[in-house]
Amino acid sequence: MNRSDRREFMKHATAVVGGLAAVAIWPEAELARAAQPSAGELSVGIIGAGRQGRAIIGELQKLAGVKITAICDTDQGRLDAGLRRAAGAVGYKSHAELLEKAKDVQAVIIATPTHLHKDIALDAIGSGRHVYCEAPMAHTIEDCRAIAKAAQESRNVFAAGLEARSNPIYKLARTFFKSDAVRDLVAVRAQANQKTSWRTPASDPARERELNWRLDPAISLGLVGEWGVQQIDTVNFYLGKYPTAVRGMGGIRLHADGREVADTIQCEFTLPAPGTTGVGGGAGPVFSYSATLANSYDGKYEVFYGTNAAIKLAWSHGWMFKEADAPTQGWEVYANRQQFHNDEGITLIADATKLASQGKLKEGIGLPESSLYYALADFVRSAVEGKPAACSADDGLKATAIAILANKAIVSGERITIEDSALKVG
Amino acid sequence: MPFRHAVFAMGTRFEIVLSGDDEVFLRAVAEEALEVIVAQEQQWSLFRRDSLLARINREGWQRPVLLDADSFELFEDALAVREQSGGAFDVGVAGLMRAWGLHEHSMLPAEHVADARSEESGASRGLRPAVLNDVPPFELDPVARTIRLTHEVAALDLGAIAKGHALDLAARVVTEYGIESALIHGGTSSVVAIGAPPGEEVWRVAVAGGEQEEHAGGPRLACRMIARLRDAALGVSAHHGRTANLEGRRIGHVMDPRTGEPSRSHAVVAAVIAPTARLADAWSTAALVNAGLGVARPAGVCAAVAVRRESGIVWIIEGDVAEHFEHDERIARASAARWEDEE
Repeated sequence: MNRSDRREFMKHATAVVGGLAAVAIWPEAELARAAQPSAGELSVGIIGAGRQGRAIIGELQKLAGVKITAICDTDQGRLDAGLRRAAGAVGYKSHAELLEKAKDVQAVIIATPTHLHKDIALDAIGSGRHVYCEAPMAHTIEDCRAIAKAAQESRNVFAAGLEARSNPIYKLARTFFKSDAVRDLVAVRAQANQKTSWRTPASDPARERELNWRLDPAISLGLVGEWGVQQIDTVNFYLGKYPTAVRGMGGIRLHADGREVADTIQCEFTLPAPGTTGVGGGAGPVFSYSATLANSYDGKYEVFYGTNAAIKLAWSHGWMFKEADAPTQGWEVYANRQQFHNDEGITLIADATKLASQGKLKEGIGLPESSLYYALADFVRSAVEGKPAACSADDGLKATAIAILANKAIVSGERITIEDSALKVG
Repeated sequence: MPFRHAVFAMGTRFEIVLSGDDEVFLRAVAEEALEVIVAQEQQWSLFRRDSLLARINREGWQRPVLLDADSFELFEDALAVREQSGGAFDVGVAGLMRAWGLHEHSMLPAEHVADARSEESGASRGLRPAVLNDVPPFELDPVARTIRLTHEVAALDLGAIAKGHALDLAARVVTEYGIESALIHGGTSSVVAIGAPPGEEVWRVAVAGGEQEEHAGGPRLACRMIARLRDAALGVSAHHGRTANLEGRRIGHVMDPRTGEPSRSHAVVAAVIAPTARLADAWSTAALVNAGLGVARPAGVCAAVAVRRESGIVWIIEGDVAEHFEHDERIARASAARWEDEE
C-alpha cells in the first residue's frame, strides 16, 4: 500500500457529506453498470456444458443484449442439458465445429476441463472471437504462456475468468484495503471447504477417467489449482505483488476411494516484504491457504489482516473488523453491523448510498447477483465496447502459475521458490 | 446396500437414498442430485438478493424475465394448479406472508409489504390479486420463454412448490444415471420415489396426521396413513408446521389467497400423490386450503386429507384410494370405524 493510494482514497471519502456515502460512492455506479452491460448486442457460444457451463448460461441470460446462439459439448447428455437452458441455441459436438459453423458467434466462453483449455483457447482466439476462459487458465505454465501470448497478440478481448476483479464487494473492500482503514498488511488467510467427493458419476466405466479429470494426478491441479486460483488472484489483485515462495502438504482424510489427489490441503505462501523490519531474514507476511473436501464449515473466504482492521471476503458478502485503536473515519457509526462470536463486523454493502436514502440498508447485505455474473458482465461490456478485460490474460497467467507451483509444493512436499520469470509470458 | 446422503437447503434437510452396489458411483450421483437442489434454492430463495425469484420480484413488473425450460414449466404448473384449485393455490402470496409476519426476512421491496392488520391494506396494495382482479400475479410468454408480473406490487413466493420442483430435477439426475430405485425427500414433507426398494412393490411413506399423542420427546401427531409410491411423488401440507404470533393469536403459515388471510379450513393435514413432486407440493397446499381437491380432478392426482370434525379427526380420500394410500392399521385401529363411516 502506498501513501498516494491513501490520499486518493481519503479525497473520495472526505468529498462525501454524511457518513454512509463513503462506503458507497463507486459501487452504486458499478451495480447500475453491471445491470445494463452494454448498448450493443453480443452473440455468445458456450464451449463445455458441464456444471460450470450451465451456471454460465444462467448468468448470461440475465444480461441485456446477450444472446446465447451456440453450445458445444462432446457429451450428448450435457449438451442436451445446456440446450434446455438456452432457448434458440444450436448444439455442436466439438469446439472446432462450433467455431467453424456458428459464424454469428462473436464471443466464446470456455468452460471445459482445465487441461483442454489451451487448444480451444488458441483456436478461439485464432478464429477472431472474443474469449472468456474459465480459471485456472491451463494445467501447465507453458500452456498458460501460450494462451497469454496469443491473447496479447489478438485485437480481441481475452478475459481470464478471475471473478474478484469484477466483484463489487471485492472492489469496494479493496479501496479500504488500500487506505488507512486497514493500513499495513500483517497476514492473509483463505480457505475453501466443501464436503463432497469431487467426483462426476460415470455410468460408463470407460469414461471414468475422462469425466474425473480433477482426480487424475497427471493433469489435475488439485484443490489449490481448481478452487484456490480465484483466491490466489484475490490476493494478487489486492497486493499488486506476488508470492515469492510456497510450501505445502496434503492428504486424503475422507475419500479413501483409490484416488491419489489429496482431499485436504494446506499451503503457505511467502509474500514480498513490505519494508518492515524483519526477524529471521526479513521475510514478508504469510498467506496461508487451506482447502478440504471432508468438511464444509465456513465455506470459502479470504481474510486480510491489517494493523488497523481485518477484512473478510466471502464472495457474496464482505465485512470489516476494526481494531479499537484504529482511527475513526466517521461513516462507521452509521454502518450496518453483524456479530461474529466475539467480534462485530461492519457489513460492506455495495450500493449503500442508495439503500440508506431509502431506509433499506439492511436489504443490501449480500450482492444482488452472483460473483460469476459480474465477471461475465464485465467481459460482455469489454467485448461490446472494445475495452480491455477486467482480468487480463497476464492476470490469468500469474494466478494460474502460482497455483500450479503451489500444487507442485503440496504434491512434492518441497518448498518452491516462485521466480518472477515463471509469471511472465517470455 | 442403500446409500444415504443429505444436504441443508431451502430451510430444511434434503435426504437421498439410492439402491445399488457401487458406493463410489452412488455417492457421486447423490452429490450431483443434491447439488441440483442447492442450485434450486439459489434460484427460488426469497431470502437471497441474488436469487432469480428476487430478480423477478424486483424487475418483473418493469420487464419480462427470461427463464430456462425447467423454470418455465414450474410456472406453467403453478398457473394450472391456481386455475384448477379455484385460487386456493397461488404463488402471489409473498406480500401476504410478509404482512402476516411469516417471512420477515424475505427480499421484498419495502413497498410490497403492507400491514395485514390494517383493514384496507390488503386490497389497496393488491395483496389479494386473485380476489381483486381475477387474474394471476404473473403471465408467461411461451415464445420468448419469459415471465412478467401483472401487478405493480405483485410478488411471488414459491414456498409451496419449489421444494417439489427441486426434487423433480434431482430425480431426473438420478434416473439419467440409470438408477432404478431411489427416494429423495425435502424435510419429509415433499417426497419423490423412483421405482421401489429392492424386492418390494412400492416405497411406503408414513404420513402423520390426526390427534396429538404424548411421547417421551413431547407431543406429536399420530401416524395414520401410508402413501404407497412407485415412480410417483408425495406432498404433505399441514397447519401445524410453521406458525407466527399476531397480537397474541397463533396463526398458521398457509395463506388462503382468496381472503388474504391465513387459511381457516378444517383440514389439519393434506397428503397428495401426483406424477411429479411439483404438482404434489402445489396440490397439497390447495387441498389443505380447500379441505380436499375440490371440483377439480387433475389427472393422476389423489389426496388424503385429515379433517377436523366434531367427532374428531377423519381422513377423506379422493382419487385411487386402494392403490395409493393405505390406512396404518398398526396404530390406527381405534379410528377405523370413523374411517369406514367417512367412506
